[in-house]
Amino acid sequence: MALKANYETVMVFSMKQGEDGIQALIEKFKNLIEKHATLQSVDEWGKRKLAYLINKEAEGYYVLMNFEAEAEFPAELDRIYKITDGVIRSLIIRKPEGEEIPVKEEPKAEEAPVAEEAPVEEAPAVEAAE
Amino acid sequence: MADRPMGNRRRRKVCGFCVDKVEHIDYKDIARLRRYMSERAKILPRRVTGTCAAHQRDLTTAIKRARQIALLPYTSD
Repeated sequence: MALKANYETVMVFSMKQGEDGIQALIEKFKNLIEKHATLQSVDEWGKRKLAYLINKEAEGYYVLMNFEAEAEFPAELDRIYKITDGVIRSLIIRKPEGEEIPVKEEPKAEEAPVAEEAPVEEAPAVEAAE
Repeated sequence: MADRPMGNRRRRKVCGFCVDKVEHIDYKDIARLRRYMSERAKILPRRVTGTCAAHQRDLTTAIKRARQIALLPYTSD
């Protein structure tokens, strides 16, 4: 009935509750998403330094999840984020049409060797033009 | 046409996202987003970075999203 779309969500957990508390929260949200939507992938970034202090805390535990759901679910998920203790930041993004689960960027191996030679070749070319 | 002297001091700026054919700017790619921010963590204007209008719009949303989840700072000093 309702249209489905792909979403991406990032949640940041407080480090205060300890490793067990964090794992319990991850399970909780995994189950919640699985119940109302199709969970596509879970990516635990782990402990990261926050760019700014949140409630005087300097670190957070980041988890990213991709899922496909009907349009009503993200609002519900957001509501639960807000009433859950231990969630210090969260973000839900609707992914642009046709975008698949992003693949980690490959390092550009081609460009490095070319860049070294380029200035050497360019220098005589400028002189010749003049 | 020949008004501009060749070998001028101003280099033509090209949009870095167009060069790399980036379709969607990812808010998680903070290393890249950082390059478009000033030392004080402000978003640099187009006239400084040479980003094209379409990519500047995407860039702005990407940086703002990253800020929301504390991947990037709002200010830093």
